[in-house]
Amino acid sequence: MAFNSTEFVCFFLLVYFGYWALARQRRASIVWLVLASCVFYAGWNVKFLGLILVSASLDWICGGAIHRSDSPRVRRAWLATSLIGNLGLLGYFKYFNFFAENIARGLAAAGFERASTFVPWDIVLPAGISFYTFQTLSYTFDIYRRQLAPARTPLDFFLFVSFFPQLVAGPIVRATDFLPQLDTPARHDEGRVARGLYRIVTGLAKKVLLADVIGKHLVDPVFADPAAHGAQGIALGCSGALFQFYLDFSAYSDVAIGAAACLGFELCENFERPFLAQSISDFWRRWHMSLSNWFRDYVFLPLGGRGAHRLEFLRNLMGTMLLTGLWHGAGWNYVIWGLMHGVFTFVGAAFGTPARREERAAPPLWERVARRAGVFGVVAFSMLFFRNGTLAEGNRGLAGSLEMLRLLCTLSPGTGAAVMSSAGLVALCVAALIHFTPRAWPHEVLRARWLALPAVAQGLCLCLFAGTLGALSYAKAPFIYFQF
Amino acid sequence: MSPLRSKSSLAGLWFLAFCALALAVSQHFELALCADARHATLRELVRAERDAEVVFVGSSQTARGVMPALFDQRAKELLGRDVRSVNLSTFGNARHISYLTLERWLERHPSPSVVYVECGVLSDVPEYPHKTLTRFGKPLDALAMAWERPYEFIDGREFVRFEKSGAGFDMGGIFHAWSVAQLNVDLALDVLGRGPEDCVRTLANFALERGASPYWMPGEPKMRAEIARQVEERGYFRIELDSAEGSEAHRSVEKQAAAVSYERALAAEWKGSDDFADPARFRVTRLYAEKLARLCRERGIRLVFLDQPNFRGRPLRPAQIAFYRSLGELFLQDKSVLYREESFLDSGHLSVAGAEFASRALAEHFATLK
Repeated sequence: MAFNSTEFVCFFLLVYFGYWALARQRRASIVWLVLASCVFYAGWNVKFLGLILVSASLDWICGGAIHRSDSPRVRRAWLATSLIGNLGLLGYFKYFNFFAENIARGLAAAGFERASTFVPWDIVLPAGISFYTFQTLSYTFDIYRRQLAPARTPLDFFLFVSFFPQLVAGPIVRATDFLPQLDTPARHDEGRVARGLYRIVTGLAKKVLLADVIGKHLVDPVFADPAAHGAQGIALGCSGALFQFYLDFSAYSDVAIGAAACLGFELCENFERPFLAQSISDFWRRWHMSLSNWFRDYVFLPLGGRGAHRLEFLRNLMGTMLLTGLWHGAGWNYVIWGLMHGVFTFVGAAFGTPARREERAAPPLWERVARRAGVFGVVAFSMLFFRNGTLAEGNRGLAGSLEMLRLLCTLSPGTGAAVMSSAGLVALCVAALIHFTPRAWPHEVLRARWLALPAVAQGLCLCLFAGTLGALSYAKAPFIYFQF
Repeated sequence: MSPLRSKSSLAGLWFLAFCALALAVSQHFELALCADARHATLRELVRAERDAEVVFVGSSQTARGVMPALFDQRAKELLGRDVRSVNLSTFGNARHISYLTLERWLERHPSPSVVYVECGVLSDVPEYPHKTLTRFGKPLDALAMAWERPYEFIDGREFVRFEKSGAGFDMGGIFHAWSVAQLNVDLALDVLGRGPEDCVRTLANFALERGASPYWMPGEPKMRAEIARQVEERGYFRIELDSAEGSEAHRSVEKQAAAVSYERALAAEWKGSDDFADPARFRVTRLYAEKLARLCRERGIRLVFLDQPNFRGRPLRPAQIAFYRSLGELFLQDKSVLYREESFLDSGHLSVAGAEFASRALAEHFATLK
C-alpha cells in the first residue's frame, strides 16, 4: 500500500477516525493500530506478516530474558540469540544470493567447475525487513545496556515494531522514544494533527512534483545512456540523482512523521537539510539520521569510535560504512559506495578542521559555500555507484558505474543524442531553491497560511491537490527506499 | 471538543465529500482524461457518429489484425450491399476492457448485428489487470470489480512466479484469497479515487487548449510524417515490414520460424495439462466472456469469438475451444496461410499482408452468417 495511492488515503482516513473514536480506551486504540498495521503490511505481502511476528517474538522473548537476568553470561547468550535470529533472517532474505553467487564465482575461478552452475535462489525480499530488523535489534541492545525496560505487553512491543507509518521505510524508531508514548493516554492535540496533515501534503508534493520529475526527465535518461550525455550530462545526472533520492526518501519520512503525528505519535526526524553540510561527517548527521545514528550507537561506538589513533579510527569507520553500504543492498555497488563514504569521512575528519559546528568558529561565507559545494560534489559523485545499484530504470550495475566513471574522467563530450528534458532541470532548480532557502520561508509562511484556512477550504485544497498529484504522477512511481 | 469534530477531522470529511462530488461531476466527461493514445483512440471510436453492423473488440492483435475498410469492401462484394464495421480494439486491452468498450459503444449506438471478440492463447493468458482499466471504468464497474474479484495477479512478474512455484505456504488458500481481494479493492479504489484527477485534467485542458483538444498534455506522436503519408496514400497506418521498426519487430518471427517448421506448427495440438479446464484459473477471461455473451444475448447480437493466432505458437487448448463454443461461435483463422513469415510483423501481431488476408477471411465468414 503505497503512500501515494488512493488506497492509502482511504485506509488512513479510516484508521484516523477509528483511532480517535477509540482513543479513550487505550488498549482498544492500540489493538486498532496493530490491526491497521497488519492490514497495511498485508497490502505488500500477507505472507511476510508472519516474518515480522517471528522477528518481534524473538526480540520480545530475548529482551525479557536479558532484563530478568543478572548473569553477564546469560545476558550475552540471549543477546547473541537475538542477533543470530534477526541477522539470520535478514541475511537469508537479503544477502544469501549475493554471497552465494560471489562464493560460487570464486570457487569456479579456483577450478571447482560445479560451482559455476549455481543458479540464484528465487527469494522475495520482504518489504521493510531492513528497517524493522534494525528496530527490533535496537530494542534488545538497549535492554542489554540497561537503557530501557521491556515493553509492558507484547501488544505494545508489536505496535512498536509494526507501526504502519514507519514500517516499510523508516524512520528507524528507537524503543526508548516510542514505547513511553504508549504509556500516556492518547490526547488529541489539534495543532499537532494539523501540522501532521500539512507535512503529509508537503511530503507527497515533494515526491510527485519534484523527485519523480527529476528522476524521469533528468536522471533516468542519463543513466540509461551515459555515453550520449557525456561528462557534463553525467555530472548533472549524478547531482539530479542525489536530489531525487533525497526528495523521494525525505518525502516518505515526511508522510510517515505526518501520519504518526495525526495519530498523536512523535517519530524521530530523518533529514536535516543535508546539502547544507560542511563536511561528510556533518552530511551523515543530516542524511537518513535514524540509520546513521543507529550505526553510530550500535556499531561505530562499540567498535571503539574514533579510538586512540588514526588507524583505529579508520578501521572502525570503514567497518561501519561498509555495513552502511551493505544495509542499502546486496551488491558491489553498495559496498563501493559505503567504502567511498568511509574514505571521504575519514579524510575530512582526520585531517580537516573539527567537524562539529560547536568546536569551531563560524567560517567566512566563501568558505562555507566552498565546503558545501565540495561535500555536495563528493556525495553526488558517489551516486555513480549508488544509483546504478538500485532497481531504478537504466540501472547498469557495477560495469555501468565504471563506464560512467571512465566517461567522466575522460571528460567525454557525449555523442550528441542526449534526451534530457528541461522539466527535469526546472524541477532540480526548484528543489535546490527550496532546499537552500532559509526555513522561515516558504515552509513556515505556507504552513501558517494553511493552518489559518477553515476546514472546508482545507478539504477543497486537499481535493484539488490530490487531483493535481494524480494528473501529474508518473504511474504512481514507488518510493525508492522500499527496495532497501 | 471531541477529536472527531476537530478542524483537521472536519477537513478530512470535507476532503472526502469534495472527492465524491468530483467523481460525480467527472462522470459527465466521457473519457475526459485521455492520458495516452489508447484512451484517445477509444474515446474517438466510441464517440464516432456512424453506426456499425459489425464490431470488433480485442487487444493489439485485433487492432493490428483487422482492417475494417477491407472487411467492408469484401463483405460488399459478397453480399451486394453496404456493410460497415468498426474495430474498437486498442493496444493492451484485456477482455475486461473489451466488455466495457462494447458497453460504452452500445450506450451511444444501435446494436450491431455481429460482435467479434478476440480470444486466443496470447489474449487469454494474462490474469492481471491492465492500466487502461482505471481510465475506462465507471464507479459501478469499480464496485462490481471489488465484489467479483476477477484479477489474481498484480503484474506479469507475479503471474510468472506463481506459475513457476505455485502459491507455496498458503494456510488453506487464505493468503492467496487475501491478496486477490486486496488487489481488486485497490484497483476499484483507483477508479473511485480518480474524480479529482479527472476534474483537474479537464480544467487544465480547458485553460491550456481552450477546450479545443480533449487530450491531456498531448505528446509529439512518433513517426508523425510517416503516419500522415500512409493515411494520405491509403487511409490507414501500419508498420511496414521493410521499415526500421518493422524489421526490428520481425526478428522474433525469424527466430520462431527457425525453431518451428511450417508443417510442425500446422499439425500442432495442445500439449501438457489443459489448465483452462480448472475453473479457478482464467477468472477474468471467463467472467468477462460470460458477461459479453449475456450482453449480446440481451441485445440480440450474434457473438463470435475470434481466435487470433500467434506465429507458429501454441494452439487453443481443448477446454478453451469448448468454453467459447458454449458461449457463442468460434472463428479460427486459416493458419495454413497465416503461418508464413510475411504474414506476421512480430510473433504476436499480423503484418499488413496478414491483416489483409485475415480481414477478407473475416468478411467471408460474416457473409456466411444468417
